[in-house]
Amino acid sequence: MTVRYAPAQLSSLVSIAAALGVLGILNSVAESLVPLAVLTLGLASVGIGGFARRRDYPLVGGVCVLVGAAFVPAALGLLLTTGSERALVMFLPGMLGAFVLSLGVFPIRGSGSRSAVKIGTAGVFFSVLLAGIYEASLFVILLTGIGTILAWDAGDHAISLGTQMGVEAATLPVEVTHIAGSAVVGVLAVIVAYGISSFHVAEVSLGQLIVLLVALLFLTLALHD
Amino acid sequence: MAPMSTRRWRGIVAVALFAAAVGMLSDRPHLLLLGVVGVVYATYPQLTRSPGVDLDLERRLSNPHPSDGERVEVTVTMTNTGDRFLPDLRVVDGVPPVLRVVDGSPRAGMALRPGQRTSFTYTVAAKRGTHAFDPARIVSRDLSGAREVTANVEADTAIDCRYGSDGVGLREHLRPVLGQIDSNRGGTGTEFHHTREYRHGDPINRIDWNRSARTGDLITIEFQEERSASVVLLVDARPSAYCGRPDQPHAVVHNVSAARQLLRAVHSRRNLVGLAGVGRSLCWIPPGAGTDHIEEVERALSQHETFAPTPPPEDDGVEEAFIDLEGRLGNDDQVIVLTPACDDVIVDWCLRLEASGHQVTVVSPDVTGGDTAGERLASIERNGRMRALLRGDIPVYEWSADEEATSASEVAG
Repeated sequence: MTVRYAPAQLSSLVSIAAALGVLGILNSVAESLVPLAVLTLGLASVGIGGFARRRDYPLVGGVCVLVGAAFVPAALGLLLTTGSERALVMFLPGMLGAFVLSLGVFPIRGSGSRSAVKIGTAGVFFSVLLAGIYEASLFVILLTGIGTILAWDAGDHAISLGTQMGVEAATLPVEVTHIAGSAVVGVLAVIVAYGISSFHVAEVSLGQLIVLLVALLFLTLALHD
Repeated sequence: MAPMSTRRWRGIVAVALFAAAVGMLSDRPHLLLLGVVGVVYATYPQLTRSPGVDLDLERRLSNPHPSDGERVEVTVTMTNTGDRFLPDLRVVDGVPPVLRVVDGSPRAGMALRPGQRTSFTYTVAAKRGTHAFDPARIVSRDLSGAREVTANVEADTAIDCRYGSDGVGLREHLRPVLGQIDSNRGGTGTEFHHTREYRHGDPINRIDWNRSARTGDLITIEFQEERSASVVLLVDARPSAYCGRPDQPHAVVHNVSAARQLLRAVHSRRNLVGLAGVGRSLCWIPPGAGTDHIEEVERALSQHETFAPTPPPEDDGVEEAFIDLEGRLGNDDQVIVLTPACDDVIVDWCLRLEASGHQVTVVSPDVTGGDTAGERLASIERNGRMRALLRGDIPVYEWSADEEATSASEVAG
C-alpha cells in the first residue's frame, strides 16, 4: 500500500473556516452577505473535493474543485453589481485570498502548497487592513487579525503534518493541541492589545507614535528568528 | 540532539511591522494595535518549552510466528517517560522493509502528557523468513511548531515466519507441542478434569511455542498434508508410573490429560489415532478416525480401569501385556508414549519399539522434585533415562507439572 500524502484534514478545514469567518465578521463593515454566501458554497465544494481526494477519489475531487472555482467569479460578480464601492475594494483581496488558501490545502499540488496558503492568507489580511482603513472597530480589527493568523497557522500545520504522516495516519490529537495553543495566544494578544489601547493611543501625537513605532521595530528585530 | 528551528513564525514580524506602518500612514491607530498582535505571536515560540524525546516504545504482535501470508496486527504503544508535555509528536514505525502494510498506518500523531501513553495499530502481511523491526522515527515539535527534534526509538521486535511445508519423513512432521496443560486442577480423586477445546483454524504447518504457552492453546501438531499417519497413544499406567510429589497429582493423571489433548490434535489433522494403556490391564483401541471413534477413546480414558486414579496392587503381567501390544501394532503405526519415566523398563520398551520399526516419540511430565535427597536422586535418574532415549534417536518432549511453567520443550540431545 503506497502512502498518500495530503494536508491533515481537520486543520485544513479549520484554516478555510477561519478565513471565511474573518470575511464574515468584516461583513459588519460593509454589507455584502450574498456574495459571501456564494463564496462559502464554493469553498465548501472545494472542501468536499478535498475529502474525496484523501479517500482516493481524485476524479470526484477534481470535479468538486472545478465547481467551487466557478462559484468564485460568481461571487465576485455579485459583489461588483450589488455591493458598494467600499465593499468591493475591501472584499476583493479577501475573497480571492480565501479561494487561493482553499486550493493550497485542498491540495492542488502534491501534499499541499505552503505558498498558496501564504498568499491566500495575505489576501485575507489585506481585507483586514482595508477594513481598518475604513475605520472598523478595534474589536473587529483584532478578531479578524487573529482569525487570519489562525487560518495561516492551521493551514501551514496541516501541510506539515500531511507531508510527514500521510493521509491514513491519525493525527487528531496533534492538530487539536496545536490549534488550541494558537487560539490561546490569540486571546492573550487581544488582552495585550486592549491593555495598550487603554493608554489612548488615538490621542497621542505623531512624534510619540513614531517613537512607539521605532520601539516596536527594535522589539520585533530582537525577536526575529 | 539539539532542537532545530523551523522558522515558521518568521514572517509574522514583517506582517506586524507592515500593519503598524499602514496604521501609521493612514492614521488608524487600531492597525497599530494589530501590529501588537503580530508581536505577541512573534513571542509565542519563546514562550513554549523546548520539545523533548523522552519516550518509550513497545510493540505487540498479534502473532509473532505467523505462516506465510498471514496478517499480523502490530500494536505500537508510546509512553512519555519525561517530565515535559509533548504536544506535537509524530511517530513513524520501523516496519521491516520487506513486509507490506495492508491495513491502517504505521504513522501516527499524538500529544502526550508526562506519563501518558497512546497506542495505534496497523496490519502487515507476513512473509517467509525472519523480519526484525527497525527503530521508530520520532519528530517532536513544541506547541508553536517553531522548534523540532528528531530521534529514533527502539524496541526489539521480530516476526518469525520460518516454518513451511517440506516433504520429509513422517516423524519429522510429528511434533507434539504441549501447551499449557491444566495439570494443577486435576486431583488424585476420581474425576479427571476436562480438556479445553482444540481450536480449529490453526494453520496445518505450524509450531507455535509462545502462543501455546501464553494463551493456553492446546497441542498443535505439524503434519505433512498428503500422507496421513497412524498414531497410537500409549499411556504408561503401571504401578511405577503412579509417581509424583507428595501433594501433587501423580503422573498418570498428567498422562491421561496429555493423551486427551493429543487425541484431538492428532485426529484433527486427518490422522488415525488409537489408544493403548498398560497397567492394571491392557487397554487397546486400534487406530481409527471419526467422531464415534474419538468418543470411544475419550470414554476409555475416563472409565477404563487401566487409567484409574489409584495404582494397581502388583506389577506382574505387565511384560506379557507389552508383548501383546507389540503384536497388535500395525507396521506403519507410530507410538507416542506418555510416561513419567520413573523406571528403566519403559525406556527399554521404547527402544525396542523404535528398533522394530515403529517410530516412537516420548512425552514425559516431570514429576520429580528437588526438596529431599531422594527426590533429587530420582530427578537425576530420570534425566539419565531421557538421555538414553535421545541416544536411541527418540525425540523426547518434557513438560513440567509445576504451578508456573506448564509449557513443553523438546529436550536437547
